[in-house]
Amino acid sequence: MALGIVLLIAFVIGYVLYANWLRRGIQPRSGDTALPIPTLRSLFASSVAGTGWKVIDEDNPMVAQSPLMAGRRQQISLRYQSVGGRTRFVIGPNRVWVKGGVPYKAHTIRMRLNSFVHAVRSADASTAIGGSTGA
Amino acid sequence: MNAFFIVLGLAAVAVCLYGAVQARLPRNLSPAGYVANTHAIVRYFAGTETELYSAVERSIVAVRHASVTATAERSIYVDVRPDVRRLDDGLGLWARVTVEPSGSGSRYSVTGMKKVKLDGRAERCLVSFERDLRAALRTTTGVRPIDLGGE
Repeated sequence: MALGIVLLIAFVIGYVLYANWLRRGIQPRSGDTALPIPTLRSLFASSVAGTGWKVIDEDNPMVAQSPLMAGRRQQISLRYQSVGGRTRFVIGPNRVWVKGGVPYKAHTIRMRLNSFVHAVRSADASTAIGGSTGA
Repeated sequence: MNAFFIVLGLAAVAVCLYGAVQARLPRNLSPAGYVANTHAIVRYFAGTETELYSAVERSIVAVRHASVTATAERSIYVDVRPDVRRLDDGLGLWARVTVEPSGSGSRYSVTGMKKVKLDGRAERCLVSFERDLRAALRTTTGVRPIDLGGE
């Protein structure tokens, strides 16, 4: 009996922690980089789009979307602005489905956001990233 | 084998339901009856108001599942229907594209009116329609909005 209660409590705590981790992982990331806008756009196209996802909006914000065959559509957008010779950007999901308090297919969104941030950092070491690190 | 026929039957029922809902949705709306109940999407262009109006009017023809229902001096009323590529975008809406001068250029503002009051996905439908309209503007007339982020 006592073991059952302990396991139930452990499961509930684990579920809450897991849901929080997923929610943190898909939070938008903002950044400031010396990279020009065309490079940033090309990094978005190569790191966020691909493996089924494709860019569906080429303007600002630039938007990539998951394929129809993968179920409910997910979208990630990149908004940017040129300020004083540097580029400020915000990348994050603009269409997320939540199921049972847990974001649906949050892993692919988190990995794509992290992949973009990693690509920008690799191209410009002076890039400053704010928001969630998705760790 | 039975599972295959069950899936096939369910798909047939879904198609019939979709058709029935589509048939019951209103097809026409007079400009006087239009009341926007979505947010507005505004885009800025370098050309004049007349050029933009003409370009939008020509481009809407190229937007899938959208057709012009009425035009006014500065506004175009559009019937936006569900599209198989936008299955999660609700039951469609009426959109109004209003073209206005803005500084040395022009701008358009796109708003929507839900066809079904409880349709919680109409906002997404509006965003998708406006995106398709911009894509059609680019391919049909070569007109692109000004990137306010600066390039």
